[in-house]
Amino acid sequence: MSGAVPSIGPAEIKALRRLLVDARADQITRVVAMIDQLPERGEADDLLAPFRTRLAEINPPRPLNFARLLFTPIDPLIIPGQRWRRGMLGVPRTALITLARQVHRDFGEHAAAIEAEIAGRTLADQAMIFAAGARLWPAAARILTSATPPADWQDATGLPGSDYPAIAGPIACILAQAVAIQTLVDGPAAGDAETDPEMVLRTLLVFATERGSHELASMIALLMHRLPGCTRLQDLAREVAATADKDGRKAAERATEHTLDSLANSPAITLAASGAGGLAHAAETIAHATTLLTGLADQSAALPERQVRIDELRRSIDRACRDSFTALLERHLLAPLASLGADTDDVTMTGLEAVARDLRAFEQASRKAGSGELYDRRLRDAAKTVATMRLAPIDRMRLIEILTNSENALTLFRTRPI
Amino acid sequence: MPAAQLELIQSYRPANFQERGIAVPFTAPALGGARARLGGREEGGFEIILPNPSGGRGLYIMPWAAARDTFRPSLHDHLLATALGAIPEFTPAALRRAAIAVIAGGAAGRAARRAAEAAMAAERKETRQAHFHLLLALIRASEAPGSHPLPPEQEAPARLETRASVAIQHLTRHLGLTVEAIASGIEALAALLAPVGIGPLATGAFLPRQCAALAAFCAEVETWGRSGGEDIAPAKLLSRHGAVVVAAARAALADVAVLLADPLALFRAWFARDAAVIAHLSRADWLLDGWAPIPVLWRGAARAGGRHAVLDEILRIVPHLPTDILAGLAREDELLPLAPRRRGAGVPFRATLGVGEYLARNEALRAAELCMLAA
Repeated sequence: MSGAVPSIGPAEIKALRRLLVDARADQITRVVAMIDQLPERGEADDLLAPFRTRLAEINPPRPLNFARLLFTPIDPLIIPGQRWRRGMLGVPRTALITLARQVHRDFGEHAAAIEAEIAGRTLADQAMIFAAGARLWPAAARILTSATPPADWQDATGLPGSDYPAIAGPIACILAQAVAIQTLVDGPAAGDAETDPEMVLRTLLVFATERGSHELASMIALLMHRLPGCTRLQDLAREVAATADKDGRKAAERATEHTLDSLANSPAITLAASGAGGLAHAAETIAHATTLLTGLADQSAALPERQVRIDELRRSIDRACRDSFTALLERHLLAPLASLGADTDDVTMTGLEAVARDLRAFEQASRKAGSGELYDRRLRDAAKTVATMRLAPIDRMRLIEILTNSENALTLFRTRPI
Repeated sequence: MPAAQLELIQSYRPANFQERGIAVPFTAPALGGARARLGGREEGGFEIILPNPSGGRGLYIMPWAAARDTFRPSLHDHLLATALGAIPEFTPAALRRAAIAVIAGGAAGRAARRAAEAAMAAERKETRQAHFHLLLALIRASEAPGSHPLPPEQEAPARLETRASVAIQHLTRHLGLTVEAIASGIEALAALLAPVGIGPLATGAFLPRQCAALAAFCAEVETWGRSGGEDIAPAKLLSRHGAVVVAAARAALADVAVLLADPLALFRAWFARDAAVIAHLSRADWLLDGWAPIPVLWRGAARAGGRHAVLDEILRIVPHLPTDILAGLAREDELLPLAPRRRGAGVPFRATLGVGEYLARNEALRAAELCMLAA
């Protein structure tokens, strides 16, 4: 938000787009770093759109800046500006820069101090994000709660000033509780003492209920995303809202719809399933989506239309994962193993075992969307292939154990367990 | 009957070390904290003792075959169980050697394999040193004062060899045994004394180092417990519990030092199969058995910031003293309860490690534990 930043005009954007068509990974990374430094991304951001798949594969380090730090806690609620409609949940991406500038200005010298602290860091530095965020988020919540639309609001966002409260309000509500939410997600490890998570959830929901129904629905949507395995969330929201004479059921339904829309519209799952961003990231993304859908399905038993929607989403995840699993297994594990012998070095072998574990995690997450038998078959076949390779017997046995189980490893090597 | 007058129908505390069994470093998540002891229906078989696998209070005792069918052992665990069935004696030292050999074969991955190879080399070195210092002690004990200008440790190798052979001859006459019997006795005693430590570098041996690591762990837990909210009580108790074990192990090591002050008497007792002397030599090993992974777990959790979570795991696997050892050392209420109910249950949405990741974590812990052994 401060200091000299480079500018980029339409001619440069056009030239860069031409360059990116055949660009190498390091060239794309340099362009992304350049765009990351721009005060206004605008058209430059659009430049990246056709290269999102390659970007996910390259996974360049994203620098941490004031706006990214500020909005990290609401990330699951951010939607493309063109998708945002009045009355719907979510924060349009087009409003973020204006809001960040407003918080930066009102936070004065503290904002500059935080900027100096995070300079040179990336989004991978979770400890820094939490440490600096713990100072920024509560202050930003106070600023946004009492602020009016900044002078450039309409020009920057294309939205009238009357939309400002519906966008800034939920952001303020979540930022005020961002530290508590992160501590809850991390578990007692990050806190000083063991706390009852349900009590923390209640406190968060009470806080949001007191701020309004839009804030409550936003809080539920955020918590659904951050705690996908929490099946009590909707019940708790209804209980909490009822004590304040508010409609918690409606808020929970809006949150559910937002979550299902996000899952349906996000390219993240298809990208992840293709292996872009790495196998571990793929497994994590798919596990998140399938856990979320399983929880939503359990809570939507009485809503046949929603069940149909959830089933459709599951089927699309299943298709994406099923189609890519065999290819990933071959590309990341079986092909590299085929060229190795009994003298394979430690680093290579340890790396390939980690790949096999990631593939299992991918499979475990994916089978929640369906096709369990197909994965079993593929893994059994892979184990048989590994058994015939030229690797040392113990390396083959370990890989078979990771891909299937220890009994299978012993059986394939005709070793009878005692 | 008022609750205060009720007594436990059965104490879970083992009567002695044999009943407690030896700690088996399985890597499968469900077999964490397992101990093994001779017994079971099959001839030569062994039983597995598992602390609260279901999360409730208490211990499960079952033949290995049942544990194998229920708790999904890893490949490493299957191979370790095979080795366990073949060890010559059910002692912590014998199991330690068998477990290291299994890992050196590659069953727990490459990192653990390299650590096991280093641990084997360190054990060989410790045994050679113990053998050397035992010989020196024997030479000193068998020679008349002032009969040689130099003490044996300063003697040239060729002359030292001569003096050693005279000392062994002296011992053969003294005990009425052959040279071969004496030589194999020295070898066996050296193997037993290697982890205990003998000579000027005794404090650097495996068991004194383990004592120091456990003492440091206890101090750290106590300090951490003071700022640990609800974890104050278990941390304090864990620290006290560990301190009792450290004190008992240090006393046992000091007893061995007393025995070594009279090597001729030690050899006499050894060849007479004096059970008390043999028990003294291995007592520290039995006392510390099962504690080695705990400081490693604790340190790993410090890096990941997960000490509250790992405290639960430690409380579940922490070794308990048998009643015959406990008498006079500590009161029951000064120690941790046996196999307590797992805390932290009922938090359904927190991400937990998958089985594969848990197994990889346990293999990494074993590698770190073996690195300590080799240090």
